[in-house]
Amino acid sequence: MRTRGLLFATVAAVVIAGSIAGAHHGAAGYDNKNITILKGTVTEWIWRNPHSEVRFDVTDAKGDVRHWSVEAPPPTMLTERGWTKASLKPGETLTFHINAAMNGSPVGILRKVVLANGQDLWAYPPADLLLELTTNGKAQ
Amino acid sequence: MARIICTAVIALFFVPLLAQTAAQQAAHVDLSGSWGYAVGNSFSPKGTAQDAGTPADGVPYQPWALALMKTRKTMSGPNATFNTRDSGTLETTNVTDPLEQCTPNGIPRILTWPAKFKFLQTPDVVYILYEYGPYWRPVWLNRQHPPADELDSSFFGHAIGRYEGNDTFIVDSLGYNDKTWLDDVGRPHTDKLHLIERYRRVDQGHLEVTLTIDDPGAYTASFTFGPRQVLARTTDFGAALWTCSIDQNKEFYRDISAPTLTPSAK
Repeated sequence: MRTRGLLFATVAAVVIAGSIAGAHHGAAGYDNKNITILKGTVTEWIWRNPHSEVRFDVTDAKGDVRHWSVEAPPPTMLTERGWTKASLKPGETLTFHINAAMNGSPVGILRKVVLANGQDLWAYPPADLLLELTTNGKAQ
Repeated sequence: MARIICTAVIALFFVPLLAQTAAQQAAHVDLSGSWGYAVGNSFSPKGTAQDAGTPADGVPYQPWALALMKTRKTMSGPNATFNTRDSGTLETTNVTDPLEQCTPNGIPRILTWPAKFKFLQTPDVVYILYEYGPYWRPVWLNRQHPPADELDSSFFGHAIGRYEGNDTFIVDSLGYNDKTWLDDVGRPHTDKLHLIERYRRVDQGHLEVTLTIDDPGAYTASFTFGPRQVLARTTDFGAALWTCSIDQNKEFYRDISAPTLTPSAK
């Protein structure tokens, strides 16, 4: 584990099953082998092609705020995975699991959000869960 | 009396005909469902996207087609490069993929896109709808291609279709322009492209897609990709659409890609 001076940041060495399909613009710049976990307050949720985007603020122990912009799948994919345009709302404090940019910029690609009630909202689920979410497992 | 006889004749003549038509319709494959996603991003008979342009991909290129493919700056395959844009204008500076300018991806490349497609079957035409675009195209039944001098050259070609057995729908198309890439790794095609798509419904949840690509303008022989399976999805087709917007592509680059690329951010 290492910290980045954030209120709550954990980097776990996790090899994610499956690929980040559709992340053609930025995938090469992300640390795809590690998950960074950030607790932040949503400032904007942009439901958009070619990729949706969530912006949130993370405050560290000193009270300094860092503004993050994290990409998510487009609406066609998110809709299948249980998301709507109203899934995230400004002001909500949530936990974001992301692959962060390797250059240290406050950007990344979203793997999942843990909602206030503890529910996981997956952006890029592991392959087996993706099948379950999008086909009810009936296609297996 | 005459009316009764007339009615009886009509009934004797048309009822079997209608029954036969209904039987024929019942016999062909039902393609209903919401299908996706992509069948793959490289339509080579063997090998992966990374093998594109090597003997391992099994594609019979003409020399000019292979040379052209290798000059293309793609976002998939061995020539893949990170999409960069001018910091002022936000115009793409390296990727040459026409999709970055929202040029239609056309057929068959639209099948590489991670969005769903759907068949609307009618007695005379099958419409194939795509969430990306959103685009659609008619596949005419009981009809031939027009004569060559009447055939337009377009992004989506002219398609005729037929059912085979009780599980397969075959689409035969030509009349394409040469403004699209065959697939995401940048394989070219010419206006001589003749494409055969086979859609076989394996079961309720699986659709098997096979493409036979015949383009004597760019390849020395026809080649076949697949069969590759796509899955029936539970979400309604069209619940969300994927419209390409150059402005939105630029926004995404400004917000996400540019800071990811900044070398000195750490």
